[in-house]
Amino acid sequence: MRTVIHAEYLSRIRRRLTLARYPLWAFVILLTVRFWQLQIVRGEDFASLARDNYLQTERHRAPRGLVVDRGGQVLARSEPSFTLLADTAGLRQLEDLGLLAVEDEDRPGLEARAARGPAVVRSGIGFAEAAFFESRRRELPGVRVEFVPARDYPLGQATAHLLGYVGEVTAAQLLLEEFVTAASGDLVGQDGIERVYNRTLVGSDGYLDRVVDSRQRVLVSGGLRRTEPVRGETLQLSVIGALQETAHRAFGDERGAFVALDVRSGEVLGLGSYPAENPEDFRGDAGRFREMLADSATPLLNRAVQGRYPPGSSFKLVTAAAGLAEGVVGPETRYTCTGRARVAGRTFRCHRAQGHGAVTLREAISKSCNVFFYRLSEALDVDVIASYARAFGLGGPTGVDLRNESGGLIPTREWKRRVTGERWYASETASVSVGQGAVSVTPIQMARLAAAVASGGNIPTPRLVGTEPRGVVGGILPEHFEVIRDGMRDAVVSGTAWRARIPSAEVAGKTGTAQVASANLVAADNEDRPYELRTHAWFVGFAPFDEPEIAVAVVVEHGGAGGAAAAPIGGEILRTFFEDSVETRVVGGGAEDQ
Amino acid sequence: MDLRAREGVDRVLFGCVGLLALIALLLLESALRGVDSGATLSAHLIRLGLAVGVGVVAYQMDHRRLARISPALFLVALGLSAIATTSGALRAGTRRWLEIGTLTVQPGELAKISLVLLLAHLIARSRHEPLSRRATVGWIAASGALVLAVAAQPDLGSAAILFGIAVGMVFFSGVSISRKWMAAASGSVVLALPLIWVFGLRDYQRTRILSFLNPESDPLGAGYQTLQASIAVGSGGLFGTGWLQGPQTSLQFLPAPHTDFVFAVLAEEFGFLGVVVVLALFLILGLRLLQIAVEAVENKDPTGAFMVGGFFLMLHLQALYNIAMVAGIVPIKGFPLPFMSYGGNSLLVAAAAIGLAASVRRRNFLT
Repeated sequence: MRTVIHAEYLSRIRRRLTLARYPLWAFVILLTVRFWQLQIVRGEDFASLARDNYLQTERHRAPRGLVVDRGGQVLARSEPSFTLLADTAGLRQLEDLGLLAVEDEDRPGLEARAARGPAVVRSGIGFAEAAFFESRRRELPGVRVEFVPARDYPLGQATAHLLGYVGEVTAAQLLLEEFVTAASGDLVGQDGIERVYNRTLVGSDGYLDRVVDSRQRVLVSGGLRRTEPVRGETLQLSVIGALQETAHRAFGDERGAFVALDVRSGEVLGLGSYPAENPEDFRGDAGRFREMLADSATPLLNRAVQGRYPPGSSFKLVTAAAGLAEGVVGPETRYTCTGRARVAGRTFRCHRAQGHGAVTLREAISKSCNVFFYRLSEALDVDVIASYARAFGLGGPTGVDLRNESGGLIPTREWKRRVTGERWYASETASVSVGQGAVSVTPIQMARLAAAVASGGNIPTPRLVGTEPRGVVGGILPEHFEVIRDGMRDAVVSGTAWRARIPSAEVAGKTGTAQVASANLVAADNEDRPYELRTHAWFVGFAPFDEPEIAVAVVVEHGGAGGAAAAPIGGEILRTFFEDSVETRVVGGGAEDQ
Repeated sequence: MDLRAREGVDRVLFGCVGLLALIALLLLESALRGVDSGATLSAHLIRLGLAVGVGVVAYQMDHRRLARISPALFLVALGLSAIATTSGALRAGTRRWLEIGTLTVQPGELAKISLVLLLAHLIARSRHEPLSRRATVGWIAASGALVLAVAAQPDLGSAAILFGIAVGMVFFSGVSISRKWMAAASGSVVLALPLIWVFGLRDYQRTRILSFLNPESDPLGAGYQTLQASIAVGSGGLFGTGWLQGPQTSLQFLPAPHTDFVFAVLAEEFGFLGVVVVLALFLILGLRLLQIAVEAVENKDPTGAFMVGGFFLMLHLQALYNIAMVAGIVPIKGFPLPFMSYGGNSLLVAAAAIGLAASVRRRNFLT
């Protein structure tokens, strides 16, 4: 059949074939060990990677809570709106498609936020644009559209500084304790009430897990983890919406601020700063926001709590209280005003060149006679005046629930030595006695001063939400306050503040016309001066005279004379309080009681 | 274990192959649910039927007769490979397929089995000494031409398998392996590697190798397949996610789940236990083939012995590489897993190999 084959050759082949078993065994064992490692040792890691593949969590943003005024009028609400978000890869995708309409200056910030998670590229986009991106989910995996309830402020500019605004949380803010619950892309309060009460207003987002395939097609979106979004709490403020609107209208194009307080509780009845921008107009518009930051009119500054102004003659209320309490003057004490006075070798003028004649303190307040207070200052040390100013809460933050409140400054001998290294001159005390020199205060401090005078020495803590315990000014007797209040009533009835008169309540007030530059260096007539050298106009007052409910402070920046520029605005605010907001003018009532 | 079933149909051989094909049906049912390439389970069933037919025909054949016509067969395969290389259907940047009507022929698969047959024929003809000069020349010429033709497609994976078959069969031939040989061989490989890296590889191939070494470096790019396969395998755990329940498979994160990565479907849905079962089936199958080859030697049938040894190399080099690829320990190559992957060519060739192996064994008992 076949030729003989060497047995030795055959056994060699046989040996080789037998040998082949060993690498086969070896490979099978090697693979078994490898699968053991992958499936048993590292199984859980891979299982979680698999879940990352197919489980996606969709976030449903919770609308922020409402902000309402004292009477329940809505001041801030959340309106439905679409927002475009992108992560770092998403930004690149948008850029490649030429859809990333972002200014160069805003790029670094946006990229920093995107590196931490999807960041807001544009908010308030229209339905068509939202649909465009939503239908391109597959091509643009880093981009998504979210339904984010956008903030809307029905009163617009009238409540701008009070309420603040919301914006996407910044990378730096994420590190702050106050935003510890926020995640990248979240909208948080950036200023005002929105920021101070952010935690009350935010609510909690809802989540919906869904299963997607490798092409990001949604296969299952239900039956898995699902949490409904919960709207933030409604926040009721003590302010009266109508007051805000009146003040906004009354200020017109003027710059300035007003604060109205409930005399008894310290609740803020109104607070405004002008110029103001409606947050809706700069929402998501970084360019507009930068313009506002650079604007010399500082529309972002809340002048009511941050603006520092010399109080001018409205400070005479403090000097008067100090003179009475220290026993330097009494109700009957008269000083003669000849239109000028010489104090410590310097000549000071009264605003009435021909003089007021022999005036009492009450008359000096109502007619705003400077000479009376110059004379009074000769018997008062500046440190004494300062201690009374401090007792009335001037020169320091009031503790209102708004951010970045300014303190202002009440000068003392010690302060001057520290700052200039020079000693105090008696002539400077004369300046301080009429609210000039280095004295600077904020409108909210002046409103509180008015409330303190009105209530006979109670120093309330201004609050927009809830109430805080009040303090008391010591050492000033009720009859002292009576003299001052009488002077303030006269000022409205027949004096400098007559423009604050309203038919519905008896108003008491004090005007102030604060120099911003030494009177010797500028034109005598305010109208002839450049805008920034014109005087600030003040009005502080309260009403009704017999049982004070509301105290108000108004400052019109470079507005001219207090009586002409500020008193009418004060009157408008008071008129609205007494005439147009009867239902919300709950006597002694706080927001909580309603 | 006793692998010597002396009479009748080889139950071990057909048992292993049958079980693998059955398990494959389960895996393909799962894998094909998410694939929208037109591949269907019924198409696979038809091919499986064809494969059984091919196996039965091969079982009836006299392998020595087949060996004698192997040079002609080889030339046909070489010619088809060459045609595919120059004018085959271009798919994914390579030309590996010939389209005849609706039929897609992959000459690479045909090349593998015809190389085994030819080399078995050549080596067995030497009779008294391992590898005569004539056989050596034939070996170098045949395998060299085929490896080059396939590599030029470019199908480096198949070329490497062909090379492995050729080298393995020389080893089986009993040729003495001198130290000089070994040194020369390994030396030339070391020298060739950098040259192949620079001149022999295309960009995508280099990327693939680099991404294999560090799959996480580019999880969405070249490393994606490796990473997704590892996730599928790893998340299977001990018992698996259950049939049809594997998210990597059903949600199409796993690439090519019905072809190259069918083993990953097994690992995900049937876990480590399923992996062990299939590995054991391949182990038993391999041992059985070697057993048949050894019996052929005992029966003084070197042609049959080399042939079955060659089939072992052909099937197991591919199977082990494919499984190692799923396990993430070798770079990704487009190999099917014999008996399990979707696709007719490899199934028919594997069936023919098994049929012939059974035929060799039967003839061993007849004589």
